Amino acid sequence: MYMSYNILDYCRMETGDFREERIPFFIFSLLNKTALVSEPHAKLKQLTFELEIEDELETLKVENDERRIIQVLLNLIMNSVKYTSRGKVSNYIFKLN
Amino acid sequence: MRLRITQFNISFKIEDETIDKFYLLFTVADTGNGITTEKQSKLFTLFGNTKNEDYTQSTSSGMGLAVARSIVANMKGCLWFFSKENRGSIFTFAIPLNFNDEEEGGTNSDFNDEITILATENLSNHIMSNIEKDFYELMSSMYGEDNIEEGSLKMAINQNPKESKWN
Repeated sequence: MYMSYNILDYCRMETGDFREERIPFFIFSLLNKTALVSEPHAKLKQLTFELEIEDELETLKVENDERRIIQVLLNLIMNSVKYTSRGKVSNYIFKLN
Repeated sequence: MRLRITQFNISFKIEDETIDKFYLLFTVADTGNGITTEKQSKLFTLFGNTKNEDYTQSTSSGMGLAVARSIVANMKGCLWFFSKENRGSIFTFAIPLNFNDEEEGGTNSDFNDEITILATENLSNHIMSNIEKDFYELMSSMYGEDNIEEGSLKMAINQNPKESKWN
């Protein structure tokens, strides 16, 4: 799913047809969606997935292109997961409201 | 692997007018293989590293980072990375934030118009000075202080002039 978005977005940017879809969203919903996809990947490789965020940020409502931010995050996270073979021992922090 | 999200505030002047802007900063840090200097130059190009000998992972499309970089550029954000071989890599990007404040009518698109007037480099330096201290703290907590060199944070945007049409 996110892979096909990569191709779509690439084509859009190539043709200069890139439009931001500014829709209000909460930061925690962005985190939920990101974690939903990336966590299973991290677990497969027995990596710990840590999250560090200020409390007040989580409930912040912003207006931005949520899908694109998730896209960038996932691309970076997948890249990290791919090239990491040993997970750092750490606490699992993921707060949900 | 660590995902970190922070916000920071930047104020700068355009034609005697001070503008305050909030940024959301996303950081993805890992303790992986790291990226060699040789590979770093190709990192954000499309299919840049897929020709490497150790490209054995069929899951890699060669698009991820290139697309990430372009999206951030299109959203008028900034993207940096740090990498140390056999230690790990940190990728971080900042995106200008619009608060959904209904009383004020929501968007402040005026700002985005003005921001394009600013040279991207100036803006990145502004942001950079804001996040630098925080960033080095994260690096030393993840990899130990011995492995950190000043100025090792590298900017990904504007790295390849060929792709500047997206910026």
